[in-house]
Order: sequence, then structure tokens, then C-alpha cells
Amino acid sequence: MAEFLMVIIGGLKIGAIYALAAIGLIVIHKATKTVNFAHGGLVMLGAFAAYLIVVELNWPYWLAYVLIPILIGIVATLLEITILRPLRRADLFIVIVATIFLGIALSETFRLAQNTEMLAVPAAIKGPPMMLELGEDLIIITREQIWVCLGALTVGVIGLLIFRYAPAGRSMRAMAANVRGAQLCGYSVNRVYAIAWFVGGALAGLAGVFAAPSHGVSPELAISVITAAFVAAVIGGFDSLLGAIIGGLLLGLAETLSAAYVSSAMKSAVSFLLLFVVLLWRPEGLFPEAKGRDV
Amino acid sequence: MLQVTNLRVAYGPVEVVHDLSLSIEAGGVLAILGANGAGKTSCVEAIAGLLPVAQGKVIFNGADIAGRPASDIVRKGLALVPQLRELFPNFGVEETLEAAMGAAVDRQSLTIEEIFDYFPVLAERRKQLAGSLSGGEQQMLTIGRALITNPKVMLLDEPSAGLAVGIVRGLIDIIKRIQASGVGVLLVEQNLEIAQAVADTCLVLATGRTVWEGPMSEAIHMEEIREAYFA
Amino acid sequence: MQAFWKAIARAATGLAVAAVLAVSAGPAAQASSQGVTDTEITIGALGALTGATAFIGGPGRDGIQLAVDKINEAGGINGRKLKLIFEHAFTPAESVAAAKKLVESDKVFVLILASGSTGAAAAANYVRETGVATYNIYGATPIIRKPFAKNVFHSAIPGAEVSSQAMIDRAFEARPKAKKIGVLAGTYAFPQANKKATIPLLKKKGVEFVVEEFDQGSRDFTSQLLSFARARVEAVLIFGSFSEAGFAIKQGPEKGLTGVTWVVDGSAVNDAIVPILGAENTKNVWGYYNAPYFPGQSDAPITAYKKMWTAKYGKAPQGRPNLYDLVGYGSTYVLAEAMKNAGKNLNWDSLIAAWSSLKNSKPSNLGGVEITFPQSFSKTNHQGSTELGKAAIKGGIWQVVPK
Repeated sequence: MAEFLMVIIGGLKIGAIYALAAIGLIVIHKATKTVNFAHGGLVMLGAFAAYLIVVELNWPYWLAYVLIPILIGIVATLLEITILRPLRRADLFIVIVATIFLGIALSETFRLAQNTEMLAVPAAIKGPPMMLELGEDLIIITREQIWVCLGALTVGVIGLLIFRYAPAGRSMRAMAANVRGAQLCGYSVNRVYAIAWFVGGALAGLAGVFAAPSHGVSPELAISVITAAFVAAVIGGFDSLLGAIIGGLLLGLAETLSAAYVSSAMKSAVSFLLLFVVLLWRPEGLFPEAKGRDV
Repeated sequence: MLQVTNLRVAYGPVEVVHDLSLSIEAGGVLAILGANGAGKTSCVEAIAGLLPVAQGKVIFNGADIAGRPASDIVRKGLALVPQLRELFPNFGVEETLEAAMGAAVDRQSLTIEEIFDYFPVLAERRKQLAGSLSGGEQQMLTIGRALITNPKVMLLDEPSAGLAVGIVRGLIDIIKRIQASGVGVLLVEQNLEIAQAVADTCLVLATGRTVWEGPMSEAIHMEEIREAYFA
Repeated sequence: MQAFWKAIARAATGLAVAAVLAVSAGPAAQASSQGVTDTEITIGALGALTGATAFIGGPGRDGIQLAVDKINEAGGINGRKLKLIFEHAFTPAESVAAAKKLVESDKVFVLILASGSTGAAAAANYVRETGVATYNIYGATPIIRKPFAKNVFHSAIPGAEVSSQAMIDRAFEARPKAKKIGVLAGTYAFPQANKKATIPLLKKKGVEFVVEEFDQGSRDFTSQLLSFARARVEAVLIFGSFSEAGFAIKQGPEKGLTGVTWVVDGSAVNDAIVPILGAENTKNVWGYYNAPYFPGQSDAPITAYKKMWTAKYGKAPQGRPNLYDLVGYGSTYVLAEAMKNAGKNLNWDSLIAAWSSLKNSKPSNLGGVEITFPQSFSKTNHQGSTELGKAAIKGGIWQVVPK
């Protein structure tokens, strides 16, 4: 029982990071109709920025949580303005290919600049693990697990609330629902796309800060995160932020439970198995967006 | 208020509106008539910024707005009620109107209650999602969305399309009321009855060209126009 | 037209014959004192300067060159100055080609294999056949060691069975009464080789053990750690990189492994593991080191060495100097002492004889600093040193601590 609970907590921690990455992916997709395959690269940049701030510059950790979302948000906005904006009238396929190669470029630039296997970032919250007694067994929870679970989920929920209620969120939702209609309400496509990339990039950057201590900073981080975020997003319906959060948590749990009780080799197989099961059972994902009549 | 001169609109190499000129004054109503495919929608969407202008001038309130993004144009006070309505299915009635209020940047927008005064039915549907409204209610919301930006000129693209006869009659009253408030109106219609009821002047389009223009009162007596374009 | 093709064929045959003659004549024609003049001894070395193993070859070149400079400044060896020719070689094919070039066209007197195991394994056959005096300073591979060759000597990086035994010793030093040991190994070549060397030693010790494996680059060790927790192991030996070992140890408590002794292999004994672990998880982590000091320590000999290093190469980049700097430097002094003992009449025979009877050779014998373990050789044992320092994390860095 104690072991099971520890496995669950471990799964939630990984899932919370997946969720955060998936939300950013969804925000950009909803508002701009672009599947951003460079999202993993932005998460990696966020993790790398955490390394620079915490390890190289030795600044306090909280600065990483404040500066990195802004920084990666700006980077993402610049990518939109310089690379994707000129492609706006291009074929969707070209835009997707552009983001794929953008992601590869981010990873490879990192690989070239940092000639090292991996950069390590210390945990944000230090201290001995907490022990809870459960009968004869002991449940051990590290402070980092609590911090990542709660922190990443809080950020995710804040992102969701912004999207749902803030004026910037309304502009993105309007753009998502109907690009022409949104323009007729005075929402500028360029501006809203830039905002969406900023918010998506900021969420990716934060996912990187949360992921850095447990994954390390390396190009592999980009690949593992984009894969997981994509699966989580599809499970959640690809258009729902709440769905992305639930999808991320489900994926983290499924991976960890299968590693614990089946085999670690099953881990990635399980994520795709989960994807297939969800899509067979509910092809529109767990949380399809309410679609009204065609208007 | 709005002067369009020598407007050309093209989809790639195919020009669909050739050399069109028109003008609208405050409180005036101009009807653009024409059969399907005559270029009416292309014309108003180009003026409103949803389609690129290939050539020509669109002087609105003293400034050339040709080629400006649609969001800019509505902010300057030229609002479009598009034929396909382009509502946000998952936005409530109130939220839709709130979203559009922001377009009135350098002027006072109308209030939601003023819009409900125009369309009392919508007041009963405040929280209802746009996607679940009836066709007539959706059309009202679309007009309300344009109206709340407090425009100087409104472009209405076939507002009567697909609506029941009773509702069409209400529409005539609404357009008259908008006109009376000093807003210039450009009305694209296939329904001659509505055009006749509200428009002062009229312009007939065929395959992207102006084939006739003049006072509405003259147009309705021209049999050949009736037969050729509104049969 | 036919005449033209005949001419081509003749020319090609001629070239081929010449090439065969050149190749076969090469080694045979060498005097065993090649590379030695009245004033100079040319030594050759090969290793990777770019690519994945550049962290071995680059420091190798710099370490050897630093020692060569210092030995020459102190007057050289029996009146002769040393000269180093370093050849870049990353792949096995490049390593063989580099060895040939150094021996046959540069005519070096001694060949130093300053590559990792890959280069040493690739060059093994060639150096055995030519009989060139060879110093394998980094390769742990058995291919260069077996069968025994009288012209091939090894420095301070011993074979896997020595380091595996050292890891088992660390576990039992920390847990003398341990009954159950976990073995956590990567599925790729290097950890598998070490695991293979370790299992028989654990069996010989008569201790129960649980083996778990992971893929290269793994970040999640849930299943392996739970398996150890269920088996209630007291110590875990990890064969993998610093990042793999780091994340495994860090996740230990999350999976219920508390108070466990962790022993990591040489590739994980790297300061980069410390931030992964976090200060709270470094207490029960042990390893071994092939030198008496880590470069990050501040003991007198290593401080003196770092001063020399900076004077020659400038401000050290991150991670330099490293173990391969140290061993390159120390090994060059061992080689120099062997050449000195061989006397004025320097050839392969006299060098190999002197080298095989070298005892307790260390840099200070020729005025260098003591940053490597002393090396000793015999006619039947060419492994210079099997000594491994006991490594622990103190004050945020790895340090060699007294056993």
C-alpha cells in the first residue's frame, strides 16, 4: 500500500510536468491553429535558462520562476514574428514542417553550444524527505515531489483561468473559435498570435524550470517532453486546457504504474496504448470542446 | 464618410471585382444588388479588410484604409456584419458583445443594454452560447456585435439570408433605426424587398462590374434589372 | 585504344606492387632505435581531439605535452630532448591509420595510445605485430591486454575486474555485514562489460544480489528501484554515466530506498553528479578514482600541478584539467624514467627491458609533481598501477579520502 502510494505520487509529479507542457501546446494550437512541434525545444530552453540562472549565475531560485516564463515567452513570440508570420498564408503542412525543424534547430544549437552529456540543475526545494507512517510501512515523500506537483498544477490552473477569464484569454478564445469573427471584433491576428505564443512559451519555460532538476538539461529533454505533451494533449481532446491537465496526469500515472508493476520497458508502450484506448473509446478525446451548431 | 474608388479584388490571378466605385454618407443607405457570384461579398469583405485589396482606394473618414487589417478597420469605426455571421459558438451572448466592445478604441462603445434595446430577444438569452441560438437570434447577435462597436459605417452582407419572413420584417426596422442614429449603411442584398424598404441609392453588380447605379426608387421600376438579376 | 587500357593496367599494377612493397617493407626495415637521435627522442601519441571521446584525447595530448616540456626544461633524458607528435584519431579505422602513420612515416620511438578503449582495441593487433614500444595509458579494454605482449605497457587505468573489485570493496567498507546487493547496469556496452566483470566477483564473495538494467539516457528508475526496495538491498552498485547514476540515487528515497549505500563506477565519479543528487543525497555515495587527488581538491601536489597547467594553457575551461590530464602527465614521467634507465644506448630492446624492471616509478623521480599513483612493472605484469583511490563527495565535490 505504501509502495503504491509512493508510485502514485511519483506518477503525479511526472504528470504535472507533462500537463504544463501540454497546456502550452494547446494554447498555441487553439489560438493560432499551429501544432507547435518546437514546443519541446522551448521547454529545453526553459530548463537551460534555469541552469544559467541557478547554477552559472548563482541567483536565487525564485528568480528562475519569475524571469524564465517572460524570457521564453519572448523567445516564442520572436519565433512567431520572424519565422511563422511570413508563413501565415502558406500551407498548414509547411507550417508544421517549419515548427518541426525549428525544434530540431533549438536542440542542435544547444548540443553544439554545450559540449556535454547533460547539465544538472539542483532541486528548488531542499530538505530531508517527509515520512508518513501507514501501518507498519513508511510513505516517503520528497519535498521536491510536493513542490513540482503543486507548483506545476497551480501554474497550469492559472494558465487555464487566464485563458478562460482574462481579456487576453478572451482574445485567444475568440481567435480559436473564428478568426474572421475575432478580427471583426477588433482583435488583430498578429497581436493575438503573438500573445498566444508568448503565453504558450511562458508555460513551456515554466515546464522547463520544473522539469530541470528531475530530467537534467539535454536535447533528449526536448524530445521526451514534446512526445509526452502531445500524447497528453490528444488524450485530453487537443482543444481543451482542462483536458490537457487531466491527460498529462493520466499519462504520468500510467507510465509510472506500468514501470512499477509491469516493466520499465513498457513505459513508452503504455503511453501509446493509453492513447489508442482513449481514441478508440472517445475519438474526440476525454474533453472535447463544446461545439455548437455551425455558425 | 466612405468613398471607394476603382476597387479591384482578386483571388490570386482571378479578379472578381473590377474597378468598383461607391460612396456612403452618414445616415445614408446604399444597397448593392446582384445575383450570386456577382462579387458583392468580395467587395464588402475587401472594404472591411477581410480580403486583400488588389488595387484602388478606400477612403474612410479622410484616411485610406485599403489593405489595412480587418481588426484595424473596425477599430476606426467601419463594422461588417458578415454573411456567414462568423460568431464564436462557445461564447455566450453577453460575452460576444463584451468582446466586440473593445473595438471602440477612440470612441464610446454602445452598452450591452442598448443592444438589448434593439434586440429584446437577446436579453432573454444573455448567458446562452451563440452556437445554440436560432438562426434569427444569431443574425441579431451578429448585427449587435457590429453595432456595439459604435461604427460610423456598417456593412451588412445579406442579413436576410436564410431567415423567416417575420424576422425579415423586423430586420427592416432595425436597419432603419441604425440609419436614423446617423450611421451610414452599405447593404448587400438579393432580397429586393428589403433593399427597397431601406435604401436611398442602389448599385447593381454583375460579374464584378457595376452595371447600373442610381436612386433606389428608379431601380425598382427597371424591369430588365428585376428580370436579369433578381429572378 | 587497347594500348591505352594496357598502359593504364600496367601503371595500376606497378602502383599496387609498390604499395605492397612499401607496406610490407615498412616494419621490417625499421631499426629498433627509430626516432632516437643523439639529441632527440620522438614519441608519438594518438587520441580523439574532437568527437564524443575528445574529453580523453584532448587532455591526453595536453597532459603529455606538459610533462614533455617540464622534462626538457630539466635537461631531457640522458642528454636527449623529447619531442611529441600527436595524431587525432576517433574511430577504430582512424586509430589504426594514425598508429601506422606515427610508426611508419613519422618513425616515432614510442607509441602512446591516448585514446579510450576503442582506439586501444583497434590498434592492438598492429602494435603487437610491429613490436613498437607501446604505452596504453587510458584503455581499460582486455583486447589490448590479452594475449600478453612484451612491448605493450599499461598505465593507471586497470581492467574492469580491478575496478569492479574496488566497487565491491567500497560497498562492504560501508556495510561490512551487507547480505543483499543491488546491481544497476545500463544496457549499453561499457556498463555491460563492467557488470560482466562484477557478477563473478559477487558470486565469489557469496553474497545475494539483484540485477536490474536500464536504457542509456534513462531518467526514471521506478521499476528498478522498487525491485531493490522489495528485495531490501543494503547497497547498490551502479554501472552507468553520472546522469543516470545521479537520477537513480536521487529517486531512491522516493521509491522507499532510504539509508542505502550507493557505489558508482568511474564514469559517474564526476562533479556534475553533485547538483543532480542535491547535497542531502551525497552522504552514502562512494566511488573510486584512478589518481590520488581529484583536480578539484586543494592538496599541495594537485595545486602545484594546476598552477603549471594554467601557466601553459591559460584559464582552464569547465571540467579541465581532468583525470586524463593527470594520467597523461604522470604516465609521461613513467615512460621518461624507463627511457632514462635504458641508458644512452636507447632502442626498443633496451627500453622494454628497463621498463619491465621499473619499480615505484613516479613523477617526482624526475622532478615532477606527485599527482598519479606510482607504477611498477615486471616481465610478466605490464599493468603499471592497479591502485584506486576511495572517492566520496565532500564539500560539494568528489575527493579522494583515506581508506
